[in-house]
Amino acid sequence: MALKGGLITRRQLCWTPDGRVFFAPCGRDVRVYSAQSGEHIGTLSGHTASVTAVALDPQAETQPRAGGEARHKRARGALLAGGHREGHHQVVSGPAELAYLSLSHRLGAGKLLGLRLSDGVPLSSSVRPRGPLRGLAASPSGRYLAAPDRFSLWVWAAGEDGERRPVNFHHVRAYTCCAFDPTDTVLAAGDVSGRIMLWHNFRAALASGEGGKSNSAGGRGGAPACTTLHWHAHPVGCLAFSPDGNHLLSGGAESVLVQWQLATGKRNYLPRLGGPLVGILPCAGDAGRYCIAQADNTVRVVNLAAMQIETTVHGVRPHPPPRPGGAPGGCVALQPGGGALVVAGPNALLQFFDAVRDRHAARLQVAPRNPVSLTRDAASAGAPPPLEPQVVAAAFSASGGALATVDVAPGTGAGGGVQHSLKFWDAPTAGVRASSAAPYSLNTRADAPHAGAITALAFSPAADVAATASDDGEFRVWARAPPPRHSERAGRWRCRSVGSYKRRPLGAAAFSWDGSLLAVGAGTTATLWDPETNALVAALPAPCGAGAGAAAVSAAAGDGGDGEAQGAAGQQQQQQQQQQQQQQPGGQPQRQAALTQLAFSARSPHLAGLLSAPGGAGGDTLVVWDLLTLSVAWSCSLPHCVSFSADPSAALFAVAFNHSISKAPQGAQQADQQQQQQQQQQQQQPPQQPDQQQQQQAPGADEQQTRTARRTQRRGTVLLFSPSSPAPVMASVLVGTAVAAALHVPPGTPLYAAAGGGGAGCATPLLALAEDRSYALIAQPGSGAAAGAAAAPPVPAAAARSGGVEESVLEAVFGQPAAAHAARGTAGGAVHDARAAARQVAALFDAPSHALPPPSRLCASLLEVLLEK
Amino acid sequence: MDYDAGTYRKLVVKQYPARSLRETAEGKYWKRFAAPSVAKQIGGVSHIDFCPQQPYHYAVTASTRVMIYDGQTRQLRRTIARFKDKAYGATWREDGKLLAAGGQDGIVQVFDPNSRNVLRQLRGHARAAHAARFAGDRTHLLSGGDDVVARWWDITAGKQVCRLAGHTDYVRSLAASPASSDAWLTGSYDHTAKLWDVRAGGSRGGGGGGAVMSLDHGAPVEDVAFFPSGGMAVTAGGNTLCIWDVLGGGRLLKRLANFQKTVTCVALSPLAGPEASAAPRLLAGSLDGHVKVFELDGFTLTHATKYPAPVLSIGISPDAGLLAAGLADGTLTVRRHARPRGGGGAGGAAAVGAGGGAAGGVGGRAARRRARLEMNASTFRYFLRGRSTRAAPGDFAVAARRRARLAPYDKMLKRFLYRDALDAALATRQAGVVDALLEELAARGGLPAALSGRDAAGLLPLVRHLARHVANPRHAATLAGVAARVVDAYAPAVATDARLDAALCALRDALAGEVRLADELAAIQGALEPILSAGLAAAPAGR
Repeated sequence: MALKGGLITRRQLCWTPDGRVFFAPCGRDVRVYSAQSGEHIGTLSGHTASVTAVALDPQAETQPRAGGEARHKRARGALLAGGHREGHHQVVSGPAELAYLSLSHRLGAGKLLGLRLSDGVPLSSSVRPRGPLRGLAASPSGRYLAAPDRFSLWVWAAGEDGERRPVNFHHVRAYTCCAFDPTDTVLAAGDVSGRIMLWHNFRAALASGEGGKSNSAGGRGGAPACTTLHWHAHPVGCLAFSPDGNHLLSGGAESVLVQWQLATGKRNYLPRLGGPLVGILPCAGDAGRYCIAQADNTVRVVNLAAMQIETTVHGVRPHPPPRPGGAPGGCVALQPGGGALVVAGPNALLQFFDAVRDRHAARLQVAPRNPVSLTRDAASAGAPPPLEPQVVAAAFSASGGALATVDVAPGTGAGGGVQHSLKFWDAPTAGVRASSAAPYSLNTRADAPHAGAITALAFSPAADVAATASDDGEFRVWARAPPPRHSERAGRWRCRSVGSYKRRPLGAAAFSWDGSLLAVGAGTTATLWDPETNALVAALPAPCGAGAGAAAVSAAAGDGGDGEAQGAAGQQQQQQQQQQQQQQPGGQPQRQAALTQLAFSARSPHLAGLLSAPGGAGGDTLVVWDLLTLSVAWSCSLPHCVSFSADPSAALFAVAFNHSISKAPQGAQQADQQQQQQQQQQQQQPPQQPDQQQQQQAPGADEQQTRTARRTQRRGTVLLFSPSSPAPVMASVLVGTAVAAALHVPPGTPLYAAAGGGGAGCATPLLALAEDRSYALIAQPGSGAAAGAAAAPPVPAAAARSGGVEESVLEAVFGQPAAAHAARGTAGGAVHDARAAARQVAALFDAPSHALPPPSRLCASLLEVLLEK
Repeated sequence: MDYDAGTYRKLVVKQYPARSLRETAEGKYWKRFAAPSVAKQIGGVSHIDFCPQQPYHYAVTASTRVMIYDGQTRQLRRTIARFKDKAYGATWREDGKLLAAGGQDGIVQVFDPNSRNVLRQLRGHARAAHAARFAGDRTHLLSGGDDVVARWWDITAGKQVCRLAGHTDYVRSLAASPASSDAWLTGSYDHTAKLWDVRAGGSRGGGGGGAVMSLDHGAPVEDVAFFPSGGMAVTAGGNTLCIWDVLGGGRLLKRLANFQKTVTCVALSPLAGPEASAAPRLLAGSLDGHVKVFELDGFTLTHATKYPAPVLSIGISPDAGLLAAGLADGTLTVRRHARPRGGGGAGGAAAVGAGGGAAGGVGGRAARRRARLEMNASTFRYFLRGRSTRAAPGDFAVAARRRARLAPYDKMLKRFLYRDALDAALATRQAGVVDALLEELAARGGLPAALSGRDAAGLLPLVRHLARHVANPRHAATLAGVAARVVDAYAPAVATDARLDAALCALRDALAGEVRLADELAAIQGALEPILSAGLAAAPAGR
């Protein structure tokens, strides 16, 4: 199945001279959008790796050269053979059938390559940049090219001979972007401090062969004069000249499009565009129209003559930045009823994305704020970057009629406190829907509902009841109050009860499918509560050594496959890996681990939870409790999981995690490590130069993507477990991208039908969302769509015990427990290690009292142990 | 689509749930008595009486004067200063054409309220006369004096008809029965209120001293009043009110002890109270500064208003549109109800208004005809023609671009002037606005810029706001962090400005009080917890 979604503004866009359509590279495809309506009108596919640049062939004006197709690929093959590695790419049409590519060398240097488009022959080039190039710009006439290095701006004349040396325009701050004016007289370049340098008459410098410095007055001996424009407070993100050369346009993290009138220095603004600007494209045919690419995955077509936005194309919003404490930012959900994919974007908004039609549906501003770039004071330069307001949790009621969100914003105190806000929303009723565009309207807002941070939010599937859990040790049950008499409005939400379990920090909350039980994770113990009476029903401890001796289920390390469900092949490999891991000594102790996810099984009396070590280090443990016996059914170790959800209509759990597989030769691997170290160093730099950091973000992302695609494949794996056995029922691998979430498609939605979901009782299809915001639907075994492709035979109980494990004393006494075989030492908690128990009688009782067998039975085994002694 | 990129989004002011869950109709009605007009008198306002006739002028007795205020405009109309010593108890005759007032010198005077002429001087009381009332027949008057006697006067002749003797202490209050023009109730400092029949002339034999009935209040009686039906009466004295069944032989129906200090005045209004309830209301003012309203079915307290000084007198206009209270410090407060229920008189006023409107309509039509004739370029109206014309169905209407009106703090916020935005928000004096702005600034990282660089004058409103609201649970979460920032940043500014120091001290006191409260609550919780847990343990397990 083709991937949908994805980031459309990550690469440079391109649009036709008549300004009717524009092209956006996205994944392996090039998307074609109408500039009039913003509709996605076509897709150009054919590349086998991600498309990194797109440019129009000046000769054939109607056809874009989408990454150069055959030519580009051939060039890449040649480069690879030479030991290079493709990195940062730009295709620029030069004059007369020439294309230029900017590549990044694997050792960090940049590389420029010219190509004759007619036959694909590379030109000889003498441009040898020192670092990776940060962009490549050609003058509109095609005669001059410029590429900013770190502190150098290389400018040269295009041509076949390629012997002319490039001229270096040096600057004391790092360049970010550059642009030529239409008359080939002015060269503009932006830097990380927000200044824009205008090099006048740069051709004279080319003729003399001497470069310029930004701090020289110029004019003497042919050195170009440099003037500076300064408005931006953040690095200049993009630059463009108007087609008539009278205006310069610039944009950056301020989300403001600035129009400079070059003759007078006057500025015009188009403010509050909603996201940092990363690209401006003038339209050759219409002087007033520009295409603006924003970092929030939005493309806008603006008319600067009227200072209006004409068209907007919204992609899936990218991840908000992670929170300072290391907690993941953002949240993902699927809306019941409408079936929209709901993602949290930057600036505390929820985007409702129509996953079936692959288009933006609506947007909900959870915190009604104007999008502004954060002000960083000079005094707080050494402090960590401030928290950006964002939505961290969202949960829907079963019908989709109510929505609960948790958003965070920095507190007013100086210590960097976080203010949590819990909000309840109502879907507008049928009469109101026509008038208001917002998908939900605010019902109740609770500021700082807990003393600590909210770690979990759950909505009851049965009633208008929600629960929040906090790391201050309390959970709260929220219920809708009856609506006031003589009033049309719905009832407000109120906190109905507060509970805590031994004042332990709470990390997870989940309602059972009939709403009669609330499970709250307190440390390693899952506690069950009656949400009506707020009474503790049971406490289910996790196995003591969870993660150490448990049967490990590792990732299905299958090869190939384009993000498709993998059947038995991957799982056989998996078995081998499990055996290998079983031989290894146990993993690290997980004393600090805590339950971060909980979910009830839909059609079986089981509760599943995910035990994570703090910070996600050392992997997670999946624990399944049997609610009839109140004991652990089985548990298994997994890598650090990014997503965990329960099937609403079948007894299945979906777990998603990422892992890297290194496939590069030895030399390349060393280079990788070097580069990784470099990157780590970059990340560890204190943000004393925030501008630099931000500026390096784009190339860094590119490099990471390259690494993903080429050598260390980062793969997202989605495993499907049945509560009856620790062997996964199904494994799906997303090749090339890391998975961000795997969600069960709610039944009864258009998306459910599109995913080929079966009737009641069948397994629900999954929607896997990748980190690059592309998503795919994964059909389930047993459903109609999956019958042909992924009819996975039931995997033999791979994780079940093999030989070499002694029978415990209790097992000898009581026989084999029915569901306690999955993981050694986990059954019931009381029989953790029978060997040790035989040596030490006290170990027999090493379990919470409610998890022990009845004394009548325990007594016999105790006597037996004593007699054996 | 959802919202236009490029448009400024206004600051959303937080909305809080209503403080009281139930707002009664009664409370809503009495809160509608708004827009107080405050007039300062020379001495304590001892008596207020509303004219029974429209437009309900009211006579206010204070010190040596009687002031007549306009019932419409609440402006002073006349001042009667024909008293050698203190004046007491100025009351209107039923038709509003005469005014009677007692005095410290014992002379009861009858005035013409328009010309302020003294029409009669009734000399007879040996000591101060505190109360004087016209009888329902318009020709007689009863006065009560400190010489423990009430006297019955014929005004036409200016002679005393009889004296009602029987009280043993000052007679301070009088009330005429609405049911009979001859039955009078007098209240005295001898702890009793006595019912008289003036036809008997006070010469009825027996130990009662001539009174028909004697009601023992138990404290010096300050004021008496009959219910509109005449069957019941209320006496005020000490800190209690007593309701008596006069028809039932003087049975005490109810004793109301809702006051901390002496009840000085009572008033009854058949029209006061919300629409839904028809029962009349009893108002009573007390030296503890409260005016309390009782309903007369179950005699329950329905509303209470606090005044800044001891209340000496209250009055309510016959249509219940004006509520006046006279205080011991000389303040006269008159509140007007937004929507008085009115009676027949109000209906008459409406009819008069309608008639005037019709007359105006005739005049207006003529004026309009004149205006139509004058429509040429020499008039301003000429240039306004067609403004109100509606677009025809086929017309192409160009929508006027309406610019959103921004609050001052929004204007500053839009221009990223964070300090000015905070100043503008503080100037609104609305804690919700300041809260929302501070949170917005925190989310933008602009709080240091907004708080820094203030001098004493700039810091003062901020610190005062913090001191006022930092202990409020609604705003504490936001303001505590700001207060910490301010105190940290401006520690060197302490002891440079006296007003700033005072504000900082107020902030410290507010925080100290809050800490004390939290400590006390923790102590109470600690005391309660064993009891609760014992109770839970004792309770049967299960649901």
